[in-house]
Amino acid sequence: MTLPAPHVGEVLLSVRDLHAGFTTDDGHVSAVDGVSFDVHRGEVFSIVGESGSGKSVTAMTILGLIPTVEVSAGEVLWKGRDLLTISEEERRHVRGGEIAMIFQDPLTALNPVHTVGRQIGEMARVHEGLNKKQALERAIEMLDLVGIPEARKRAKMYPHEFSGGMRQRAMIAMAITCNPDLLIADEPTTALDVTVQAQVLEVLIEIKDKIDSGIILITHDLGVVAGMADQVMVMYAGHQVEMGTTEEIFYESRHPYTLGLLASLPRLDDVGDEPLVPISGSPPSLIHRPSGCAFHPRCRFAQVPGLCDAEVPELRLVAGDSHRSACHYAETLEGVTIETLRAKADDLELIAPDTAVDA
Amino acid sequence: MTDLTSSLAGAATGAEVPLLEATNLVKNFPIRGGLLGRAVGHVSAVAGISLQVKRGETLGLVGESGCGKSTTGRMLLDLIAPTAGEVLFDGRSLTRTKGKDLAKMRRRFQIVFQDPYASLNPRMTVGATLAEPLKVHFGWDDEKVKARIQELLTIVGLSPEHANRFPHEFSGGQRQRVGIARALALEPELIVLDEPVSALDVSIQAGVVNLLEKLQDELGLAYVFIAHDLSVVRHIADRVAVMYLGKIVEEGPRDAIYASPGHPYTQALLSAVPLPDPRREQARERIVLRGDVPSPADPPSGCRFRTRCWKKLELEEGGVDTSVCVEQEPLLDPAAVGHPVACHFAATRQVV
Repeated sequence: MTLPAPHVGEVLLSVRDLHAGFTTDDGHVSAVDGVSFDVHRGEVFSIVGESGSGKSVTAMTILGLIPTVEVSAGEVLWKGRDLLTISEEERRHVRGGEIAMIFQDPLTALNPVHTVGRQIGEMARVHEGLNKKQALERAIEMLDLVGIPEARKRAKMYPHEFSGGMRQRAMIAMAITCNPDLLIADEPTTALDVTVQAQVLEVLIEIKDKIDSGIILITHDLGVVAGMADQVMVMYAGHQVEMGTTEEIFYESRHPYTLGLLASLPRLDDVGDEPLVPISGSPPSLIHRPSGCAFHPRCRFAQVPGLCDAEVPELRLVAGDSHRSACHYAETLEGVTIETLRAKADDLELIAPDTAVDA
Repeated sequence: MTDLTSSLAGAATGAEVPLLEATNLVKNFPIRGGLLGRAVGHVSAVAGISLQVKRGETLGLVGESGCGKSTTGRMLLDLIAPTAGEVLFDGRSLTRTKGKDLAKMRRRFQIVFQDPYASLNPRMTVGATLAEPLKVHFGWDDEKVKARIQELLTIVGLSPEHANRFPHEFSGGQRQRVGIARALALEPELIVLDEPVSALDVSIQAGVVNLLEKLQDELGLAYVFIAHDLSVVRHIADRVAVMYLGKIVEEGPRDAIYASPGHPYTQALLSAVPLPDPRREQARERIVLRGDVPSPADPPSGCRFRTRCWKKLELEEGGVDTSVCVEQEPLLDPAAVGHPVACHFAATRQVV
């Protein structure tokens, strides 16, 4: 059984060989290291990874939202322009108007001293020059669109008077006020309870279809990815390690890290007492990246000494016409599944002793 | 070990005293207002719950934020005094035991908190943190304490040399292992685990969950595992209690709760958890609840879930009179669907 192909339009955003990092007292942190991807109209492009993998920095860099980030190379192409080189004035026009962002924590992202209606309306005032009254009407319309009951009354309230789920809807309302072509949602439901998460994700998909935009969905929750995404990019220590359609990533992964993530997940639809197989060790420091493949110290398939600790693997086509993996031995992973990993793991491996002393 | 064998024998004859038994626990937090800071109302955080934990068993306590699961966990260990109700530990009332007797009992039950960074003293080395309970409760000398610390660090998958380090020198997963080692130090019989893996990345979380299971097998521990992540609870729990707004709405053996839930809230909760399997996830029917959890300062009359209940709506559309949901509080009915469910219209439905 295959899913019907989603309607996918033209390329909206094209990120090419992006390198971004920070300078700290301890050295240069290379947070994003040579990332390239395209996002199309009408698609949900998901960036998956654990804390510190560089997924948020990638997204924030697209919009120039982190002042301290140093972009050392790369292009972010948007409607024929490179967002990294345009003027701040032009960028302000793109930000919010053409590309909008939905943040993880709506309570810190919303201004506590202004009403929700005023904050949403501000988008329309800045980008479309509406007056105060028109802007408020627009805000009410948007709140209604994201399913907030009694929108007129709610628009006059402050963020602290909203529940978590309603705040996140208000954030979505704000993001779509100017009909953006692309929405960047950074862990949009991580702070929410599951029943509220289900409501918010439903709204997000409806909105995407209504305004015919694309979505970059950043999350660590593989369940959310499975339900929402068309394309998936897996990141580890600032690198793209695997890219493909959702089906390719979940059913035919060709990267040991992706496989490891899937095997470590407890699942609601397990039927017996399937073991959880952890990935040993901890993610590496981005200042002192391991040699060769950054994942090799934690990889059960690594050939060490050998190719894995000597050469950084390139992201390359490994199957189909779009399934890419950055593993030297990607081909040998054909047919390897979660069950393979479960069968291989012994007792010691299951409790994953973490005796590293330089964490 | 004698405890374990005697409890096994007890199970065979059916005359076992549960290790932990809570009856009608209630906790109201006052809402203060006015010039004098008098109580003007109260938040009903836990509204009368009863539960039992047997030796060596894991009870999963699940629910969304604000449902009272953490407050319950703390009352079980007498870290918060209940407004009403009683907790029996191994047949003795915790609520009525005081002073030295209580201090002695505390050795037998421990807690692991969600945030291992906030729950470890940043100015104490891990060794000092682990030594404290050993000195206070057992009065051991330094040499004996040191040997025990090394043993503890090894069983939780850390290295003995970690004893000289401070909490900030560890990764999140390692810190949680320190938290577990601290809970194990006094060889307790019961550990309350309050969201112990929620702050960890999945690849790390799996190792900690496996460690908890291994320790339980080896040491015969009983766990109360409090979590909002239903997938983790399915993995670790033997029995599961589902809480909503201060009450247990459904309780039963794990497989019964996950395969045939009987309460509309449990059904909605389970159906909302996304499955990391695209084909199944996208083909699945989801029960989406409307609205948010009502305020525990002013809970709805009758059934506390009725304001968000999808089933009530469905029944009303079918012309069924649901006034009982508004007028009468549903009690946990053990016969409802084969396990206890608190719903006037309980019926099982497969949702996973």
